[in-house]
Amino acid sequence: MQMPHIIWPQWLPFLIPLIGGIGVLLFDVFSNPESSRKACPAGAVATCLLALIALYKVFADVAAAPAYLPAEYPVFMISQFSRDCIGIILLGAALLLTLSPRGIAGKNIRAGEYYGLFLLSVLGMMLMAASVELLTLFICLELASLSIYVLIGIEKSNANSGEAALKYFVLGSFASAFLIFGAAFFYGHARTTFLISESHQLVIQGIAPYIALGLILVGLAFKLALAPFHLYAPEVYDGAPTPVSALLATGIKVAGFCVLAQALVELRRWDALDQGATWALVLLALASVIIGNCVALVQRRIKRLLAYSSIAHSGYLLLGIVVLSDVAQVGTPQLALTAISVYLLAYTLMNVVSFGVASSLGGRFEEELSNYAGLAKSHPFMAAALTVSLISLTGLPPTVGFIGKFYVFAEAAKTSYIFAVAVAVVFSVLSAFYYLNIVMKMYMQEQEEGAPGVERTLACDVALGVSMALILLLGIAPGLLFWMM
Amino acid sequence: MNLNIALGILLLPAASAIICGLFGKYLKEKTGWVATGAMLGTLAITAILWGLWIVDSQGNSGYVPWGFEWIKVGGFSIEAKFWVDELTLIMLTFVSLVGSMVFIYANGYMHGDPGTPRFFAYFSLFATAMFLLVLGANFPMLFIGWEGVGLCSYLLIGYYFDKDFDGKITCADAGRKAFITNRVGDFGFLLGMLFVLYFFGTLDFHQLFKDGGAVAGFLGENGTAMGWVFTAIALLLFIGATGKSAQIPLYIWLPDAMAGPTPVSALIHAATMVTAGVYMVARCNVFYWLSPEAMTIVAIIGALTAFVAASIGITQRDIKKVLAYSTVSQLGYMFLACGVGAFSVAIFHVFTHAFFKGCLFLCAGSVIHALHHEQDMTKMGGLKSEMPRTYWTYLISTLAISGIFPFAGFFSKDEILLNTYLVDLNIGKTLWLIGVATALMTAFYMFRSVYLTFHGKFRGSEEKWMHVEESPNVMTIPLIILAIGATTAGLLGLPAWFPALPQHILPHFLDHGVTLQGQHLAEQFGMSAIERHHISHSTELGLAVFSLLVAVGGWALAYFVYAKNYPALPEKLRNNLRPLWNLSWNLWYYNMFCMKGVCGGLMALYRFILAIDQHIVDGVVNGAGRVAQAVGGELREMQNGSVQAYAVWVLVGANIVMLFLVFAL
Amino acid sequence: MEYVYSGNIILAVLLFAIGALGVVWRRHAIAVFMCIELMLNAANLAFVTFAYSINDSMAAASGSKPLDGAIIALFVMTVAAAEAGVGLAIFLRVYRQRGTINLDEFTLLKD
Repeated sequence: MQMPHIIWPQWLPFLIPLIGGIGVLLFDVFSNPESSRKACPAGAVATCLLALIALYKVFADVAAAPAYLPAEYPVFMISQFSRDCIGIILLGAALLLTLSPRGIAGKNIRAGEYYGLFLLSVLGMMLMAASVELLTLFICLELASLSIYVLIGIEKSNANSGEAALKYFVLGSFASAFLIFGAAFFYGHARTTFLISESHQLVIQGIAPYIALGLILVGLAFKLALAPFHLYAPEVYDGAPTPVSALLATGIKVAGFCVLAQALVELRRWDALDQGATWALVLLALASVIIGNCVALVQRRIKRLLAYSSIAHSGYLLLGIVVLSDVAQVGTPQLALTAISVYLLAYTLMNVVSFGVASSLGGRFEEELSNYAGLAKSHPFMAAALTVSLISLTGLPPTVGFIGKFYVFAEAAKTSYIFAVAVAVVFSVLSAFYYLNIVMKMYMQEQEEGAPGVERTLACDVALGVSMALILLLGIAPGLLFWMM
Repeated sequence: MNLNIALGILLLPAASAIICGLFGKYLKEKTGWVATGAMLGTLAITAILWGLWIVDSQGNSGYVPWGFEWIKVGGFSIEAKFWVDELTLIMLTFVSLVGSMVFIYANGYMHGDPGTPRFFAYFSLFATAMFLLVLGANFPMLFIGWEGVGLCSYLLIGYYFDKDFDGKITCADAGRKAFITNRVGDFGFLLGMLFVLYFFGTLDFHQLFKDGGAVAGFLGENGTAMGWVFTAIALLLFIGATGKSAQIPLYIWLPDAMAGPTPVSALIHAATMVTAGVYMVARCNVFYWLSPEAMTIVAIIGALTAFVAASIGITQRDIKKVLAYSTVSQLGYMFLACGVGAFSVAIFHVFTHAFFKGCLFLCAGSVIHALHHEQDMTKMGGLKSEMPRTYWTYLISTLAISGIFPFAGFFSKDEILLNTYLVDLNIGKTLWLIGVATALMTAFYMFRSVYLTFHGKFRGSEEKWMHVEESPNVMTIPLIILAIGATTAGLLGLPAWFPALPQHILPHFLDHGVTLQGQHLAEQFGMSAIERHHISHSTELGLAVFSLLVAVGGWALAYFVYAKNYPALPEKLRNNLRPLWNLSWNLWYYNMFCMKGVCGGLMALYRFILAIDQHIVDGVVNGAGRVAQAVGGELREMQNGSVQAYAVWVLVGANIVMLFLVFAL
Repeated sequence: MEYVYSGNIILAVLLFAIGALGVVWRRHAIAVFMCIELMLNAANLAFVTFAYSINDSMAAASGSKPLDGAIIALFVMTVAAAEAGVGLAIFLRVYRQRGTINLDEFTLLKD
């Protein structure tokens, strides 16, 4: 077998974060902490934006035919969908990195380590989103996860941070083991680890292939925090530094959904799915929607509430994935893929804002919800940003959250699992209780006396302002989405 | 260079709104210059558009090339597209010109106000929405602009949200009143839009109105049998226009809208936003041309509004309220013009009105500024000597609005009266008489305000008089520029009897492109449209001289009552004409009727619905919430902190997934 | 699948199950981590076994002998080593702070 011929420019979008990440790590080694605290975030944000530009320049015309990397040995497939997902990951990462200096201020975190690992985990997510080969998927997932394990526990003086890292590590590697064990069985029966090859046929014989698919699904479902694999999420989000929680809630989920969607589209083409697979997905989706929304109702801490809300949103998204797997579904999956990518963008933006407000305000605002009382008086801009994102999370117009939810539900309603959509709609109405409760707290209640004000920084204002503007703009003119993508 | 440059007109104020909104904290009062710069930029772009037009008038009417699909649902899509033609250009010209002046002025007026960034953010947003309204190529785009200007107007009226206005209502209430009244109008507008979509299948102006467009196709298919469609659409759209342009029965919000800062009144409630209704009617002139009934109603409503508002203006004491009612009255004239088929003349009056009314409001602002928020004219007087620039510009604009030759208002108003006189309707002459009577009253109450404010002796406190001084240049220079406009804008529409100079420039310009579309269609399909008689130029001249005499008569009357015999004669008149005075002072009791009758009825209905809501709907909803909460409380127990319990759940989940996959339910 | 290799697969499944149950049962974090390693190695065993069986049938059909499965096992081992590095570092960091790495004592974040 000969070495694949490497076309360097094609790898540019992935090389930039790699070089950026290692560069930031090295820069930190050779410079004093003060200058690296200033330079590292700037470098990291620039890296993400550069990679974003490179991505859309290099893969400008994948809408016609997807690009395979490397061409002779295609472990990565950059279709329009996966390109957009990678773009969403990079956009979210850039925004979170802009929010990070404020988010990790005063927490005894070394800048180079934080930003370097952040970039490497983003690289892992980008590659994971594009991968269509199981070993590659496993390695990229591990690249993303290993960096994140460290990032969660990076706040050395904080016991919560360490505990969160420990828990996420144990459960995360447990789930990865399922993934790779499933991959082994897949290999044994399909005789390949590639998901996209036309020359192989998955032989549906006996139960082994189903076990393989099920195990892989379990590995991914854990990363996507789908119920009942979600239990780590509230604790880890609560314990981790807030920008890292946000990365966990956005980047890794976008990557996971991208892989799942691409894999299902391919498997459908092989006729390798039956109704059981779809039912399993529907069941996970419903469990996530119900558990996420119900438990979110009784949460008292902001990050735990956002964790449960993100579980619920994973459920809504999985309904979009169900469309791809539905056996009865005919025609091209393009509409469903578009719906999913719109939702992923919406989901990323609104989580960036809600976690971002918590991290920008810092301190007690990362803890109890009751601290948000009267925020509209003391920090009107933050309150406005959080309100916009909460309205978007609820799925009300005129926000992009409404558009995303509308598209996904409309697609899912075309399948025979319309009852699941009905349940999701009911619970998404229920979610207004806890989302708008925060809005009410901020605008209607009085602040406790003596609560200290928080200094605003321009970087936070810009990142939150941009995300908020995007949420509203794309909500008002969803046509822009298709024009941009 | 192509029409894409027109997008700059939208983007500049939008960018300014974002900058003022987000970075107002850092920019403070500099936001004013950011916003003003953006506005001047739109003025420059408008000038470029005119240049392009003159170079190539064929190539520069049409869609702005850049656009995108805004919403797509099934087979129906709405595009974010923009359109430039004669009507758009005229609207752009005065909105950007008067807007720039008001923005410059606002820098002086708002000086020292802590909320300046917020003010300029809203103000820029308003400009964006207004330009969107004018540039939009279809009903939805127009509607977004329409709602946008309404929203900004609401925000800006309530700008001093913590202050009392008028003793009876707060500024926030005034904002709410404007908002709610406009909702009533918008309901009609939306219905009209739905009708258009249902019957013609498109909402794009060009697709609808062009030769062989959707309307022509509809006429070709149905002939005159479906004439009621046009009447229905025209009237529904007109309901929208009565809301936005403050016509009977929805005019009550505009006078209360004076609660906002004066530059807001000048720009929004005098020069631009309120003319949106006239613009929309002119844009949709096809529907009106095809329905003489609807046009008659428009003409009657316009004439009545002009008359009623002018009669209220006679007795008001608040200088801004006088101007507000004069705005309502002038808008009535514009609709009268639309109703008699002179759409281009209506736009001509919109154009001249923008200058003199903008100037009047800014002058009033200057006076109010100098007197530290005193708005009662009975406490003013004698300001002529202290504020010469304000006085002269106010006087020029008053001459313009009263229709004194050769100021701008004379030409536009005379053209409206002439067209009303000529229209082939039974009630045409009656409408004309109402119009003439309104002109008399207009001259009277406007000169009344001049004499009360600037002549005689100062009637306020000594202390206030000490502080009276002319406003700074940043405020007076816009006044002078607008006054020049109020003097010369009439040149664009000289009447037929006027010697030597080119006549009817602006009306002909509009008639050529837009405002006669409907008449052509009506002729083509043999529908009956409103006709006008023709008379000789000398008769026209005679009518013009007559209306000039009427205006001078109003002036003389005001001089006699308020300059010569103040305050004895007004007092005497009030006592002798008590019932009439009461009627006018109490706004024909209409406001009271709305508050007590309409609002009272609605409140009763609201309380009824609230009761149902509280007892039944809330019960169900809260019940569901409580059940979910209980379920959540139970499920939360899964979260027991033990990492290995979570691992067990992972195993359980894995088994369930496997079960489904293997046994393929 | 050839009969001769079924034993290996059954062994791999058993190893995986033992590992999974160990994760649930053992209390000490290091022991739990070793169980996870056991699960990864079960996957490795499966990969290598499948590689052989595929190898056999491919050799019979076309004469080529791809070794994908065996190489994948090497990759998995590398990843497992990296995981061990990070994991042990985390254990150490937590142990320094809390003086224990018994998993049931970590309930700070319990709701």
